[in-house]
Amino acid sequence: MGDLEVRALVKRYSDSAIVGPVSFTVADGEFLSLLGPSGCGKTTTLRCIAGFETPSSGDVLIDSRSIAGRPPHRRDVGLVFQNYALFPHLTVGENVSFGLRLRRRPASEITRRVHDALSLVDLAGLEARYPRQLSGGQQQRVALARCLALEPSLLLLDEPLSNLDLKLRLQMRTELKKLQRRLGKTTVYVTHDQGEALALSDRIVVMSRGHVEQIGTPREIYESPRTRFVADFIGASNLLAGAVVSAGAAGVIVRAGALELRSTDRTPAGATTVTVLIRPERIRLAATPPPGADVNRLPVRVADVVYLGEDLQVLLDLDGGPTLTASLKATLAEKDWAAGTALTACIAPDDVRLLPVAVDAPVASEAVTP
Amino acid sequence: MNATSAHARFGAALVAPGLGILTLFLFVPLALIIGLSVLTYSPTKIWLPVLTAVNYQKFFHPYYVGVMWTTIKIGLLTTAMCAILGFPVAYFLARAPARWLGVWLFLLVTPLMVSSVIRIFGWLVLLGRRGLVNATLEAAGLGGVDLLHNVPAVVIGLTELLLPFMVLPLMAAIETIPRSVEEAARNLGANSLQLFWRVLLPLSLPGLVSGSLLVYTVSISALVTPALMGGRKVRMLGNLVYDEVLTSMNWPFAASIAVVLLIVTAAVMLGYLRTMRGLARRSGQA
Amino acid sequence: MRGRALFAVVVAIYLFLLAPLLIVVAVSFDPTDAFRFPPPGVSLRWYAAFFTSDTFVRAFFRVSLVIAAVVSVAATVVGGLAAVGLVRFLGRRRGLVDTLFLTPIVVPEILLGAALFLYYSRLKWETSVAGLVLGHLVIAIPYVVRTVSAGLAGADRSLEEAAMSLGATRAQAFAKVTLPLIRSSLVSGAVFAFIVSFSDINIALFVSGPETVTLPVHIFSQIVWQPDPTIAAASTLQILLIAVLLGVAQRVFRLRVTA
Repeated sequence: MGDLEVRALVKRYSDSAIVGPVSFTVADGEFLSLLGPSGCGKTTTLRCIAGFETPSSGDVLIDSRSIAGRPPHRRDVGLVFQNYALFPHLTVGENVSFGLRLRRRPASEITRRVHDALSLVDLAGLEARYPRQLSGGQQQRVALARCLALEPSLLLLDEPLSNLDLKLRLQMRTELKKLQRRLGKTTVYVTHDQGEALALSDRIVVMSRGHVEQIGTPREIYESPRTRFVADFIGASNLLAGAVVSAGAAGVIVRAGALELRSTDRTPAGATTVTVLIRPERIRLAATPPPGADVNRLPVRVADVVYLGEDLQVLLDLDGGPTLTASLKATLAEKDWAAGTALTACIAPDDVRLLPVAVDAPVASEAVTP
Repeated sequence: MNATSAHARFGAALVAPGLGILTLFLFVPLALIIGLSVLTYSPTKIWLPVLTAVNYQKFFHPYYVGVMWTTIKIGLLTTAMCAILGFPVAYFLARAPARWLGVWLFLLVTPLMVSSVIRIFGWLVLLGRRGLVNATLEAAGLGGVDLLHNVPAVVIGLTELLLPFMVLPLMAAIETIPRSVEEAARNLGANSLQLFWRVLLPLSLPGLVSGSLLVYTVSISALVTPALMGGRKVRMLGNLVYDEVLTSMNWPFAASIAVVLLIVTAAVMLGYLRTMRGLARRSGQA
Repeated sequence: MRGRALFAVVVAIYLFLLAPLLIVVAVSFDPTDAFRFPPPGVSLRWYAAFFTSDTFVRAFFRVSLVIAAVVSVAATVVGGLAAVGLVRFLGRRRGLVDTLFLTPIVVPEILLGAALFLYYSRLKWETSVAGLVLGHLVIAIPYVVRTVSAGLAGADRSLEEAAMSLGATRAQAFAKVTLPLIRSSLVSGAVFAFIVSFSDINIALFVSGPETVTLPVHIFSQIVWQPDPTIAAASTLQILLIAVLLGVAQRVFRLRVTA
């Protein structure tokens, strides 16, 4: 009923900036996020789907029918704006019924549908208020109800939570997810907040500088990033420049500085140099090396410990090698690790990821933690 | 305490020359006109210090009622034309990219600053008996037509003259409507007409009222346009004032016409202020 | 979709707006006196006629230009002072005075013209340059007051205070810090005052006399009594003058925005 396909979408701007080609599909009822920093093209893509930008090439299809030629007022999509865009001269009820009144639905039907839409967002009874009398969170829910009243096949949301303060944002996030599950609406969500994308989405499209970096489930994006950008943008990372020593059935051996690490990942397309990714929370620290053969064991020295309340960040020096950052729960750690303490860092080969060396990134040898 | 009153006195001193000029050459003359309007006309001495209501009673004479009616009619027609033509231009300018806005504004404002006689001369060349339109018609063998000396001609002349007065406040009002509100309306299914009627018009109403006020008050006091484009057949209150002051020398009567114009202008202004306050309360735009 | 239709409509309306001016300019170059468009050729004969006509030259250069220049300077000084007084010194009492300065804009110009004419007769003043200058000042001063007030409101007060904390007296701080900042408002106020005076017809029709025939008044009487394309040449010269002044004013503002 409401599946979306974006096919090779390209938008060319006059000053030679290009977004695309962007391709992805959204199955009926799926929640897909477009995630990336500002300027990456996610909003442009969304606006192309809504019809407010005309793509230079490519197509947008809903239920396998192209809508690229249709003007924005004749597309069956609902768009929730970042600044809500409520009509200031109309009441909440008039705002929500706006689309229904345009379609000349009978009054009784309008009243019922408005009531239903407002109930969905927990604002039933506020029909007579004006937008200026509502809080930011309430206004945002009215904007949502306004779209839902028309029962579109596709729901588009353009950073709807970014104008709310943190607590409200987290609360709205849960409510949005519940609502979407309940209604089963195909949803495309634009955000620059990775936590939001990970929490809400069935799948994520990570974008940067106008093109798609990776498409996958939240778990895939986090645990198996395929490019340096994705690794960098989502979650914290230790990124090292590495050279492939050998690659075989038992795994790959890479050398990074003075380290030699074993990885079960595949080398990107026959490369001889790679970027090695180790997530800080995957580094286990012990005072004495534990037994067992199948783990990368590195002797390290504590450089600094940063107490973050729930977590502990431990900066580790390796003799003659790069520095690494490890992250562990404060409850599990020995809080008295003084600078200079000798420890063993254990990293499973599954947790040593290999990424292509980014074309324009500097080849660094230190740990990078956003 | 001393500092503030010295402060205020210094301010008063700075403002004094300007206020002085306005008092001596605006407020006092206007007050004199109001006084003159209730004095009696005398063909020999022009005015006598005898109070009378005759000058205002003259307005009820059918000829003068006709002139009043023509003036109001032309005022309303001009305002309507300016609103109809002005809205698309105002919308276009409000949404125009900054790079081009300067050029469009320059083209809008320059005619405004050129003397109205010159612009009307242009219309005369176009529409006059020996003018371009007639020359083309005659060349086509269709004979000449008197395109001037009627109400539509005066309305056209005034509309062209006053259009920028409508566009500028309307443009300012439309600029305050966020583009996302327009896009939201389109997303909900509104075509251009519906967008205009349900969203743009209600939200730009203050600008429309402001512009209409300006256009109306200037058009009802027009002199040069009806004189040159309306001729004998279209006479407005402005023409009446001119003739009575400089030709007939019936200054008391001229003064009463002036006072009537003043009252109408003031009344429209007050009405405007009331509407603005009402509108602001209703739409609740911060 | 709508975009292109809107653009076409707007261009058409702009043509309507500019049509009379374009026609006047075109006709001024017409070698014949038969008002044709497009003109059959290009000739400067009407410009020659303009410069050889005593009445036209006098009206343009000896009357209008001079009066406008005087009005421009006087209005800028008086209006500038008033704006400073309003914004910086009057504080609470400002509202009433503000409104008073806006009154001339609200009063229809012919009323002002008629009122001044009757006033001058009452005072037994003969028509003179001074009478016209004063009349123009009344309508020009509000423009200057508004522009300079806006400019002052935009000028940061703390800059003056910083100068004073570095040892400048209040007057020095004003002269060295604020005055340069409002320079562009003063210039644009001066330009508007000039244009308002030069283009005025409604006041001049009442207040000008045989010695003080301004260009617009002369054009008016020529249209009524003796229409010929010399009027077009005179008009084009006025259009040119005003367009150049407006262009200059816009440039000054542009500079302000980037500086």
